[in-house]
Amino acid sequence: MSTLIELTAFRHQPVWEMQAALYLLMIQAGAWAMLSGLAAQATGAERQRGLGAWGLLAATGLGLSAPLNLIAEMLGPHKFYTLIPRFNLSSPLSWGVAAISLFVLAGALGCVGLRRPLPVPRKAVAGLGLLAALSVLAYTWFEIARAAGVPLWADPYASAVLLASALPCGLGLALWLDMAHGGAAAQSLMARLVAALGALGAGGTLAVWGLLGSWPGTPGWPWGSALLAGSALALLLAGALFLDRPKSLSGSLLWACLLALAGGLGARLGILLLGQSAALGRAQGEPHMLGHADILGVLATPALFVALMFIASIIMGRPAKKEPAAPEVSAASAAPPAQPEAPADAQTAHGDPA
Amino acid sequence: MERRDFLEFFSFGGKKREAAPPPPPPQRWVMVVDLRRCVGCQACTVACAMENRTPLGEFRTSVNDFETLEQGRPRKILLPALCNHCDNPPCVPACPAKATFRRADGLVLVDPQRCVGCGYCVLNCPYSARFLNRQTRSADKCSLCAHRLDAGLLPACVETCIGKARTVGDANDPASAVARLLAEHKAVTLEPKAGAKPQVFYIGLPEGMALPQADPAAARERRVTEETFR
Ligand code: SF4
Ligand code: SF4
Repeated sequence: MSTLIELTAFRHQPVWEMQAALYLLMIQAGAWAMLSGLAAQATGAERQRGLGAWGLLAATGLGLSAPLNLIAEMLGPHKFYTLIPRFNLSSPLSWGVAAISLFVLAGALGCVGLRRPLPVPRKAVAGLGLLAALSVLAYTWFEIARAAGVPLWADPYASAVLLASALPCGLGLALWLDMAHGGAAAQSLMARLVAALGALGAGGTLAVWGLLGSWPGTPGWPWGSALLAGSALALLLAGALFLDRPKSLSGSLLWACLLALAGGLGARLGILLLGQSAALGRAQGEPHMLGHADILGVLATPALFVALMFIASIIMGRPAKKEPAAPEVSAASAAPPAQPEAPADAQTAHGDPA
Repeated sequence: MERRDFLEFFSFGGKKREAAPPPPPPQRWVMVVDLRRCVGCQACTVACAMENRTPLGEFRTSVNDFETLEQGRPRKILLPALCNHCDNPPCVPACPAKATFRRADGLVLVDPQRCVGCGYCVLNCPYSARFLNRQTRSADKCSLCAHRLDAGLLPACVETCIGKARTVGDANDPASAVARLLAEHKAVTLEPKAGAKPQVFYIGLPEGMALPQADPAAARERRVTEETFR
């Protein structure tokens, strides 16, 4: 093709901006937090018990607050409910609505199960959670990769970066929350290694993708390349920090989480806006970072997540309801008297039936 | 039942009714744009904006203006762009609210009552033909002036085109102007690779000319001079 000089063009404003980026980060991080929690529960190790609980709690908090970004970005938020009866088999977004509903349901059941007996087997709830988390990750992959109008997103690198960069965010959040409640899961090298690999993989992929030239050459928004380069750096730094054994709550783990979140959000914003500015163009100048949202609107959903985690922290500090005792009285259960109510210490905060 | 039908029904060995002629093929609205006739006056852009009351800065159609080098010589290309009312439109299956649909006559339309304004159809159009209309709070794009066609009128852009570059008609009617143009000229569509089977045909479009958004690799060869002009 010969050089084409574009004098005027049929161009439109980007449609998915800050709130879409935030939504993708929160829901994908939530899916990874759920998977981390389920994996920790499956190990059955005492040290991982807190991660099992806080993984589920963080996933549910993110699952409840993330869709508000999606609704806020829609032009007709009051019609959101119509997406359920009008399920369109061929639309990834319809599958997304189903996946998120399942995700919130599984998360809520799992959280209730941390404190009181459930009428359904725990394995069924865990299976539902696994299915929901995988569905969320799969739907977000297809949602981006199958957008026929944005060539940059069709590149599997884009979806891979989005998926991988959410892993350190979800797992890191769960590890930090566990540590804040006296847990020791963050001391295990395995958990930190998984988070580090996610961050290094995402940062490395983003950097390689950039070096290979897919996004630096993309026209439309020069700042997009800078944003992606910064995000790659943040993710690589986060990966290195995850490898360090955390000693305090405000130490390396916190910084690793913050850098992973910043890198994850920056990568999403960069990929979304750069792809759209190349495909749709700029009708009125550069894409604006906040999009059509205001700063309070953008901060609302992370604030809701923090509030939900605060409430979870208070509830988890209380003693849990015990499973009903087995009918036959064994020697072991008859001998020791009932233990006094345990204080709201680190162990109960993990959902440990005191 | 008419008297003749009634008698025929009860007659034995009577004359068999002649087989009904096959139904005419369904109407298929298409547009043919003859680039040799377009002078880039943007009268169509203005007429469309007036007819459809599009918001400031957004257009259902406009004439894009490119320069390219052909065998070392500069060539200007004026490319009227609009929704291609594709036969296999990626925007339709992408819509989670079933608000975007394809009519029997081939027009791809948006039902603003159903549209939730998620923007996914905008991201699924390979031709950047859609946008989100913040006034109507729904996705928006060229409807080929379906309301005018249904009333027997031409689309506003066709009616106003001073070069007679735009022609609209029923491609399934061999006597229509579009059918004759398509039969007599080599007409091409934009980005056939996208597989959407567009139904806006261009006469006089240079072979192999990719739209800027066609593929990111090609885009690197392009210089955007909008800033220079702003
Ligand atoms: S040009 Fe775009 S909006 Fe129009 S029918 Fe084709 S895919 Fe849909
Ligand atoms: S913006 Fe409207 S028409 Fe487009 S995909 Fe969403 S609901 Fe469908």
